[in-house]
Order: sequence, then structure tokens, then C-alpha cells
Amino acid sequence: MQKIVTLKGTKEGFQLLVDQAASFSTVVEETTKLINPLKKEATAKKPIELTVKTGNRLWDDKEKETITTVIEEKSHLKVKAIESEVVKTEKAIAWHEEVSTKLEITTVRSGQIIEAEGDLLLVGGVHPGGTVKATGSIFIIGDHRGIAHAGTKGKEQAVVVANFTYNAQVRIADHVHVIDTAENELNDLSAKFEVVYLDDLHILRVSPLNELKKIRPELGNVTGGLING
Amino acid sequence: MGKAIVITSGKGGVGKTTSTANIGTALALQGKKVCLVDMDIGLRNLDVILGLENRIIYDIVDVIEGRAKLHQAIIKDKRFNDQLFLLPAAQHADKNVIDEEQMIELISELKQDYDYVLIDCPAGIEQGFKNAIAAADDAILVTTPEISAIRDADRIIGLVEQTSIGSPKLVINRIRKRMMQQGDVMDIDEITRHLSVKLLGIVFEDDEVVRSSNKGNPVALDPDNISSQGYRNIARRILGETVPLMTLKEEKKSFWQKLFNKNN
Repeated sequence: MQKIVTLKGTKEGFQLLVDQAASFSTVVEETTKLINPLKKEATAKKPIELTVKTGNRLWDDKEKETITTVIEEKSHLKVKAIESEVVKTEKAIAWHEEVSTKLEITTVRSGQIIEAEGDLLLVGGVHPGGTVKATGSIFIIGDHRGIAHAGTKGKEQAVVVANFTYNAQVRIADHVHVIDTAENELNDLSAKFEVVYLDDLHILRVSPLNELKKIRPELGNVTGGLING
Repeated sequence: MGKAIVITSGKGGVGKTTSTANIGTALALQGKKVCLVDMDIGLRNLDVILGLENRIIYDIVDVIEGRAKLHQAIIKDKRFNDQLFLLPAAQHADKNVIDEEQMIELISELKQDYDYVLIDCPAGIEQGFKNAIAAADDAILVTTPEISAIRDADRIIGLVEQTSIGSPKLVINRIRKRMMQQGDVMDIDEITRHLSVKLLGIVFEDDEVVRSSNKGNPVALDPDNISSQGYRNIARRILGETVPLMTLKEEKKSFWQKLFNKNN
């Protein structure tokens, strides 16, 4: 029969594996039994860090506290973290929201503001006086003539991809870039899709789209809310 | 049960009031019973353009505050046989004396008796604008080919689209043919595409509009005038007819030549 709690040494340090099927009181009992003899043997001056793994089971704060007290009081071990294979739905949704790209299909007219958490894909144009804001990156399919503000909460890795044929403004975190086409406007109104990003020197740069993979290799590894690799 | 249409623009001076008077006149000429409502409280002038200024006894604020009955305040245009009516704005009050609910009540009362209720919206996007659009079933957005008017029009479309009215229909007013042909201003297609709303009609700039307005006769009464034709076409499109758009070309040349000769 498999033990209810197992102490294991791994590359990442000591781990306490807990049987996910056992009742909490049994776990506490077994842990006490397991920890008690350790105290006598403990010689290290510094506490040894330990990770508790609960498997497919989520403990609440009270349970976490109980087990931490049991372990720390009776040994030199210190609980570094209590890890579980599962997450709460609300946490998962928040995480999903954070990493998935929001899709907006609308024309952003003068005076209107579109805001999004995470990355934003806007299908439709931004008219002069209109604003799009996202805490992540902004991708605009359509003409951009207004203000696009990426990384509103300070994310400097955010980029803005849009058709920059027209006069417009791009902001990334707290940096501002004005797209002025007045001088080179030789009736060339063909779509010019480009990426605006913040380089290592904190200067806003405009580059052709094929550079994007080099500039931000981590972009595009996100599909359906899961980060691949 | 009639239809309430608000005529708005955002920017001032693009011809909201002139358009209201003329579209109303053109609808009345088509045999519809029309009531024009001036919502530009404090700066009324729809009555002036219609030549009805001296007949005002009660106004919209008197009606809303209960000092007068609705039928007492409405003025009949004598040029038409019981077709065109005006509910004038107050000159001594300001736009905040009315709220949206009172407006909805008033307009739905008017809709019982008239085929079309045209609401002349004040410039700006404050309370006056909110009142004017609150009760409307449809919106006509007037703009000129100037970039400042188009910018404001874009803002107004955004605001109107958020209401139950939906997308407004576009009237491009005061088009100067020569400037548009030379490419000095955005052309009709560009404006319509940029604003991405349906085009209801175009009206060419003509001195006669101002001249006849000054006399208190809406230009739409003159069947030969080029601006009048624009307004008449708009009225027919409102009634559901398919009318081709007036062109900038050919006749245009002769028109300018005519004008040129006239001025010389």
C-alpha cells in the first residue's frame, strides 16, 4: 500500500508528497508521525526548505496553515510552498483573460475609447480622435488614424501592429510616438502595415512586420489561453 | 403614427437648420404632414428661415412647463395647405430646462398627428443634443466637405450609434463643385467611406439658399434651383424612392459658366 505522506529528495529540494485521496485529518496524523523522528536527527543550523505537493487537491488557507505549523514546529524543516496540480476556476479565468487576445469588431470613432485587458485585436479602423487601449499589445486590422496605447499598465514589451499610412499616435507604456506622414505623403496611400515597439534603449521604433518575430519572439506562442512551450 | 427624425451635425454652421427647413418643405411638397421642432433653445432660428418669426406666441418651453397647450404653440405655415407646421424654440430659456423624458413625451404626442416630425438639433453634444436625439426614431447627419465638420460628424455617429436610433444617414451639404473636382476637399465617396454610414443625399452650395432664407422662403420651394433639387431628392429618398445621386460633372460646368456669366 502506498504511504499517505512521503518525504522525497529531488533536484529541486525536499518534497512532501501527499496522497490526494486521504482525508485531511489522516494527512495531519501521518505527517506528524513522519516529522517527529526527524527532529532528533536534525543537525543543520539553517532550516531545510520543503515543498508540499498535494496532487489533484486544493487546500484552503486554514488547512495550509495547520500543515505548516505541524511541520515547522516539530522539525527544522521550513515550508517553502504548498503546490497543487489544480487551480480554482476564478483564478483560471483571470489567467485566461490575461493571456488571451481580445477580439473587438468595431469602428472606433472620434471620442470613443476601447479598452482591453491583455492583448487586443481590433477589426475596423480607428478614426481621428478615437482611442484604443490595452494592457498588452494591440493589433489593428484597418486604418489607424487615432491613438493606440499598448501596455497601459507599464508593460514595455507590448507592441502595436497597424496600418501606419496616416497621421496617428502610438503609445507604449509611458512612451509616446507621433506618426507624421505629412512630409512623405506623395499620394502613396497603399496600406503600410508595420510594428511599433520599444527597443532596449527605450526608444520607440517602427519596423516592417517581418521583423516582429525577431523583435518579440515570445509573441505568437500564445494560443487559446495556453502558453505553448 | 409618424416618424421622428433628428437632424444633427455636431459642428455649427454646416446647415442643420437650413436642411431641416428645406427637407421639411420638400416633404410637405410631397404631400406629407410635417412638423418641424426647433430644439435650439436660446438660439432659435428655424422660425426665421421659414419666415414665421412674427407669429410665435407660445414656444416649446411653454408647452413643457404647462403654460400652453401643444396645439396653441404650433404655427401653421400658410404657404402650404395644412402640410407644414413649426413648434418654435424658446429664446429666453436655456437648453437645460428640458430633459429627455419630457422630450420623448412631447414628440410621441406629435407623432400621433403628423407623418414626419423633424427635430432641429442644436450644435454641440451637451444636454440640448441629448434631448434632441432622445425622442428620435431616425437621425440625419449633416456635414460639409470640411475636415472639421467631418471630424465632428464622426463623433456624433459614435454617440448616435450607442442609442436605439442606430446608424444615422448622411447628408453632405454645401458642396462646392469646383473645389471637389479639383480635389481640394474630400470627395463624396471618400467622406462616405471614411464615416462608414449610408449616404442620404448631397446638396450643392448655392447663393440662392442664403438669399431665399433671408427672405423667409426655404429654397426647396424653387423647383429649378440646384440646392433645392438636392433637398427634394433627399425628401424622396426618405419616402423610400430610389433617386440617383446628382453628379458633379457635365451640368456642373455649364452651371459654373452660368454663374460666372451672371456675376459678370
